[in-house]
Amino acid sequence: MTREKLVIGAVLLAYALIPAFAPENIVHLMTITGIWIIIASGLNLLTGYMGYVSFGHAGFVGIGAYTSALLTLKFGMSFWAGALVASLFTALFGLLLGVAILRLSGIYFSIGTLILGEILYSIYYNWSPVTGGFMGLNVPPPELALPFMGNISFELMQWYYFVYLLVFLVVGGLKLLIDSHFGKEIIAIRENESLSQSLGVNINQRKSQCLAISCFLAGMGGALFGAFMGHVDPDSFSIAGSTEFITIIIIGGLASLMGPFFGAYVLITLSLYLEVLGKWRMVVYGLIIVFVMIYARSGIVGFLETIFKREFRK
Amino acid sequence: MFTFEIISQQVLNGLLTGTSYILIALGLTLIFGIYRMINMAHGAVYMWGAYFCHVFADTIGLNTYLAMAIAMVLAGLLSVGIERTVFRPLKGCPDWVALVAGLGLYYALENFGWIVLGPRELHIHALATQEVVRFWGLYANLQKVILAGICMATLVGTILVLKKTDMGRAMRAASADPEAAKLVGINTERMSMLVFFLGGAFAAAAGSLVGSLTSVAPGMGFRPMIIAFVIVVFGGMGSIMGTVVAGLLVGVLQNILAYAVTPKFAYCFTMLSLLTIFIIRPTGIFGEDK
Repeated sequence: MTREKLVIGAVLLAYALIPAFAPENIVHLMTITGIWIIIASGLNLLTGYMGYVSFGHAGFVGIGAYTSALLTLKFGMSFWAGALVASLFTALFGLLLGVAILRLSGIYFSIGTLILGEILYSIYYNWSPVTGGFMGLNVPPPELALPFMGNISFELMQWYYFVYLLVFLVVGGLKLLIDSHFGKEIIAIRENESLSQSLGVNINQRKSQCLAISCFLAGMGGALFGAFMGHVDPDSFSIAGSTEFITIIIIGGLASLMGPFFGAYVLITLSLYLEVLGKWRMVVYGLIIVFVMIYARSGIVGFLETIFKREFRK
Repeated sequence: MFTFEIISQQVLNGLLTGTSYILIALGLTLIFGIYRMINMAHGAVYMWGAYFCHVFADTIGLNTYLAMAIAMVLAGLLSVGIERTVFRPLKGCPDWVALVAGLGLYYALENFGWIVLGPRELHIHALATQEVVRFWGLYANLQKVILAGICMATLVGTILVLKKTDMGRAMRAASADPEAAKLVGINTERMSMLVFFLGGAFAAAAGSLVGSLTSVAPGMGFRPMIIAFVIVVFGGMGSIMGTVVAGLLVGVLQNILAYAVTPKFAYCFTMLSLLTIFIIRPTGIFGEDK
């Protein structure tokens, strides 16, 4: 236990110190990775722990990104209020959607979310008066007015610390959630849905709650992504994006809190190194996804488990 | 605006669009029947088929339909290669694993297409695209009628082979119960290769004909693949008759929506209506209850 605390302390210290040493582009990349970790953790709750593989997650991220952008642009809300409302709105969307789409299970759920992802992408792309079509929307940078300190403008450093503060809050929150009764129930749903129902788990309620939390994190990630990049456009939210999120949690290792960290860093580092391949980049990227599916489905966490002979996953 | 002529013209257009979907979906259905896997790389085979046809018809200068036949063979071989390298090692895995792997492969093949095809749109020259057939006061592009004819011939051929020949019986046996089929001496691996070959060839035929009507581009395969995939699900996963009816329905639905609402949102509304039906009846319109 104390050793675990030491490790967590060391990791936090490392994260706090990185911007002091690392060059700017690495800090930038790490901030994006942080946003991806938030989204992937949400997907991991749904897919890794509850066993519902969503192929439309990038679409949910888009809901958060566009809602937040529109609230700041058209309704003059501050980024903070906009992002919060956008995350809650995405969660609400998930909750309502869950009533319908959670009637499906297994591969049918995946197909349903894939169709939904296409619908959402098509809306982002075609509803030009609102979403700006393929040109997208430009999002103003957030500002923070603190008492005694005046206005803080959000530069890269502020973004980095803010995003990782959220990452650790999210992962901490998910840890509490997984260890709670709720966590045990959704794992029971993954293992055997009808058995857990007969043992008194309110599966319909648990499933929609899980989808809503997952959507909340997706919406939050979307709002952060849009404001950080200063721009929202449909191509970030296509089925390709959803495939990327699934790949992240599989490379990392399903049903593990560390999984999304490993997965997101590996994928970001890969895409960084693959830049040298120029136009072959996406070809190799696709082949890597295939390779992971065939040879490395248990992910990095699974690999560590075989080395350390310890269970990291639930 | 909604006169009988216009509506029937839209329905006819929809039926013709539907036949191209059926050709793509037929391959997916056959593959699903034997493999119990959804081949998400199918759209890339469709695109490469269209590109092969462009090379033989326009660069080399063969007759369009001869070029199409060669493209069908090449795309069939590509599809068999995909089966051997990607899908065979994934047999027995959870369904979604094949879905992700197929998507990954799709992106690899599409982006390889960007390198080979270049950013320009390519064309397949075919005289029939400029001819119009008139009957009962309705109009149809000759190439679309040829497409419908090829689709019908393929369908009838496939059904005859499946029902009447030994090979077809072996295929159906491998689909109904792979283990038992192996026990009675059916080479199920050869059957898998056969369905992947046929699936690739049918997709290439659709790709070549649609490519000659519009244009050939690396991203051309994604939407038709998603639509075909939905059609397979609606047809009850593995049923050929279901695929045909669902394909025609989706084609008509899309055309009517494009006319009645707006072409921009036709795809979106079609998908939305399909998702709604799908949620109500996950096993498809013709599928058996779970």
